[in-house]
Amino acid sequence: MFQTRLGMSQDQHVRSYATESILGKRSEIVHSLLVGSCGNFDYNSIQSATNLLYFVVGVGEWSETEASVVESLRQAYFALGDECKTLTLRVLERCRQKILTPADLGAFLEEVWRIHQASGEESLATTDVVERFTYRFQ
Amino acid sequence: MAFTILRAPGDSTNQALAIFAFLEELTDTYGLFLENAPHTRTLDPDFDLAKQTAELLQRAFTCTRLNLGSAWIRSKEQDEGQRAYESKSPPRGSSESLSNSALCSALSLLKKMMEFCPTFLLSLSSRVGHDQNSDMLFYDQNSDMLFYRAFNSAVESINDSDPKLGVEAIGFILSVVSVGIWQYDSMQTLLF
Repeated sequence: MFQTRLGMSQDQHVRSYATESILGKRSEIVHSLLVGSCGNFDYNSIQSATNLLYFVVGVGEWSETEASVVESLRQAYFALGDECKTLTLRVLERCRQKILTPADLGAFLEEVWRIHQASGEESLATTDVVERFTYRFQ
Repeated sequence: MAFTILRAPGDSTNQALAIFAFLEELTDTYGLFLENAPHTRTLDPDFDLAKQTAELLQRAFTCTRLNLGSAWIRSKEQDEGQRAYESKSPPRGSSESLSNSALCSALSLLKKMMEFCPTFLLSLSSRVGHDQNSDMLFYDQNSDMLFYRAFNSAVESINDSDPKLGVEAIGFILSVVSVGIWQYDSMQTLLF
């Protein structure tokens, strides 16, 4: 179990600086976590990556996070097609709104990771696997 | 004894790894004392504990800095007037496993320090004798702060080909998140 030992009244500067540090690198963190979730991570990293992504999408302005996600998903590593890009964005927005839990995001990312494991070089956008995946998480 | 180990002839990175492990244990036991130690010289024994811990930590990072990855090195080069895109690659090719284990150990230690003594950690320069005492130093991201280098290195290591390094990097960033995002009640029940 991990938890910070800082008291509620202690060191607002420290808390602010920690938050600013996260916000300053938010785009890079989001991008790295999405790339990793698309098959690059070791399977055992998915859980901690999920925890981090869930909280990073929850801080700062959503418009900025959304722009980071859209920009990241434009890149070639994401092989599931445009419909799944939209779905991914919607899932992260629901995490932001606390409609989805970290466990929900974990299930989503784990499935993304599994599908990419089998993808090879070509896009999977039109396969049955992706169609079922989209249906499940819509 | 720890200072003696660090100064002894031999492989400085392996010596630094031993010091990182020692400091992680020390943080486990004395982290709260470090967090609450006075910033200016007093008769309080915690002042000496914090001062010696800071120096040992900084010397260990100095010994192993060339094996801590590109982000760590890049900050140093930029400090010396070089632009970000001109930075040279660090010498990781010939000693990749040593590099990864050095950064893994460093991030594991710094995660522990974020947990027990974040104020102490955030006040440290990456070099001996360059620490500041002002609270406002936390906001200077262009300075040569240990945390700043570590955080950049962690972000760059999330997708490292060594999964252990990736896990340590994410763990360290999560420890930063847990300090910064205290308002989310679920954080306490979610992490680890």
